[in-house]
Amino acid sequence: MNTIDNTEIYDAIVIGTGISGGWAAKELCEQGLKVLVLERGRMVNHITDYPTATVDPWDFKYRGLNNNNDAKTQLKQERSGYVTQDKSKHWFVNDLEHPYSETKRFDWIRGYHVGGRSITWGRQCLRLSDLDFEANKKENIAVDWPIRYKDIAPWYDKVEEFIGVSGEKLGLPHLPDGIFSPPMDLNCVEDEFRTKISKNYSDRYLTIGRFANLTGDKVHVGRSKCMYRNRCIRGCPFGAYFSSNSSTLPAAQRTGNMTLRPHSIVHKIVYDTQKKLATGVEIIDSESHEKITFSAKIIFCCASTVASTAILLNSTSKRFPNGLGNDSGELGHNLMDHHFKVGATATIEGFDDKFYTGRRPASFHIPRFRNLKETEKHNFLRGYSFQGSASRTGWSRAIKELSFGADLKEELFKPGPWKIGMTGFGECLPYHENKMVLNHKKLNEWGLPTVDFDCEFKENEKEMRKDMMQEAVKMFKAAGFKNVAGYDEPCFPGNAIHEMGTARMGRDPKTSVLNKNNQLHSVLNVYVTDGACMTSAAYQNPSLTYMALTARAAKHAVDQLRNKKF
Amino acid sequence: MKRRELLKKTALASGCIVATPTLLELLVSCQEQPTLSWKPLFLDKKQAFVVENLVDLILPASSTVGALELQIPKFIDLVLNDVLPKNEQTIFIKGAQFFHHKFEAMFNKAVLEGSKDEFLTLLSKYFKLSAEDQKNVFKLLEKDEKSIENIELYVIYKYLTCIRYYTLFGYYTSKEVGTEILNYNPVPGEYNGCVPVSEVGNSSSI
Repeated sequence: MNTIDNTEIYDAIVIGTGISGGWAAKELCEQGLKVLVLERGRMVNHITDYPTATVDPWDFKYRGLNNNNDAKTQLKQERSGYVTQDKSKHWFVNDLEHPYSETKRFDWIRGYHVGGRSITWGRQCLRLSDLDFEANKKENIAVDWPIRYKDIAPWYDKVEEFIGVSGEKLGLPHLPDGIFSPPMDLNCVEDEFRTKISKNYSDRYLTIGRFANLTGDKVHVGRSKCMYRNRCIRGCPFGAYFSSNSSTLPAAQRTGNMTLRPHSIVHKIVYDTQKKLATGVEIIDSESHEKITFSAKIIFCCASTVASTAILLNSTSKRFPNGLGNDSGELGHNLMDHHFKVGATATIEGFDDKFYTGRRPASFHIPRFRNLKETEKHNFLRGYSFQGSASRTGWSRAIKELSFGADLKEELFKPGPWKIGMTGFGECLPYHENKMVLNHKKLNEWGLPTVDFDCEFKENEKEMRKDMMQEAVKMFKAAGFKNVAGYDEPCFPGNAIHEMGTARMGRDPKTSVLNKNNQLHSVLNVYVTDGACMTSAAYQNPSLTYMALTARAAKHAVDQLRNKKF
Repeated sequence: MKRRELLKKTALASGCIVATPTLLELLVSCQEQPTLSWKPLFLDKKQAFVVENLVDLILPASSTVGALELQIPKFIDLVLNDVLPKNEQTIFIKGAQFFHHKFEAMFNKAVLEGSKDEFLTLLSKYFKLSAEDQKNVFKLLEKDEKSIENIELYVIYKYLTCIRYYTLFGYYTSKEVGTEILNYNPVPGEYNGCVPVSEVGNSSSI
């Protein structure tokens, strides 16, 4: 790794290899640029570095339970409720090595390795619409998005074609259809629920989620169809779901234009006052602690919402004493996430003679139905969707019983009654006071400042949650399901692992950090295309939008370079 | 069968005459005792002996393999040692102590001399409840220890439901059950959302 040339001036440096970094690498390399891709974590090669991909429960010493020794090192990652299990804990950081502080609780769930969280993402691919892009302006909230659906639509097309998204077209204006491979099946009970919803509501729909798992016969280089193992979070030996490791990084590699350097912690972007451009980045090798400067004509920040902004905040200079490109003072502010963990569960009578085969790595989706019309009046702005699934219960149905004996044992081999559950995913408004800052009092092992969070869900989100639970309960009851129970569990920002904002796009350099092309208003060869750029959160799972914006920005950067702007 | 050997030894050991528990331990220590086929990490011998008996009652061998044969007590001991947080470990030990006392009071003998039938009698006292009463037990268990009046009953149920849970968990996630009894299909290749249950059979193990 030390042999990588730091005297060469690369055409571009991409910081980060997650879902955005992978796209930046692919697009820039395919356009013929010489690209240095920097990743702070270890190398992860597709397939060969997925240690748990084919491991069965009984092969884990603790059958997948998290043991106390390991748990101590991932207390914050564990807040997710699922990522620190044996099957996936190696994809998430050691909190002792990578500390952060919280003025208010923020669950920062991170993966430091090549591929980042693209290995473990939820794979749900939902387009934003003009309902989302226009909302801030119409409601006079924060600032207006500098783009509209038509600006991003072709890039959604491009991304979907490459990554492969299975799903069903619905023709809804507020959830635009994409380029889909055949949808996965709903099971019998979900299908029943879909029918009942269509009967009970004129404006609500249930569809199978739109997931980046391959179905159908379209060829994707080096990847094959979903085998319905539902072990995506471990890394897929079939390359059946989209990740940087399975898809974009190999594509970048094939061009011969990519240099990938793991163990490279970028901590500063170097600014040239004369040129008014960035000239490169400073890194610390995470293993040797060696400091190196790499030079490039274009910088893509794709380190993740919080990490990209932390790098910008740390990139101070005489011209930018508060962080690179931070003339507006908005850098680090307007931090958002989705709020969820609110919904309902129920049981279903009948269907005892029905079952399913295979393990579907996808949930059903009920698109947003609130505040679609301006005439609607609710106690909150914006809206939410539901995601959920129905299944037959296994042995765990007997946990809350005191039964015992041979009959119990035999009974629990058989599939139990059906149950169904769904959780809402709600939009969080952008609030200036929800922020992250650098904590210079607490340095990490490399002597770099850490991050402090001060972020909370507020009245609009709380009011929305009441409606989310109420409507989930109503929909299950109206469908004739039994034992309907609503729930509203504590939910802290970060927990949905959809953190976004902190370097928002906008039209005015005085009130935003990035322009409509994801360039820093004041340093045009620095692009930020990960979640940091989001002007509002919308309710949709955001990764697809990051990918589309990254591909769009990469095209812009290449054009600028060709036109000798940088 | 290890289980049968264990039962034999239990029967031998139960010939003792009963005295106070302390005196009894002295007596027992010079007689033949039930031995474990494994070395516990967390439990002492007495606790492990009772756990073995309870595990065997919860999921006994029948036409299919039982939990004892799959070494579930050893798995529970591992979980207690490495997985459960400190406060749950403490509650488990307290519950075990109370449960042992209950046994000694009911049968007037040391737990190490207890027979399967005797453990069944005591376990039934706690587990053979109406559905309503079972619900109440789980309501009780959701409460915080500090707010509990009858701490004895609370920790005994914590103890028994912990053993029951990890017996089920260990058994149904074991390789034997997972690959030979439950439906094991590591690479299904397709998903069918609605098929007759008769075509599938048992639940999936993974």
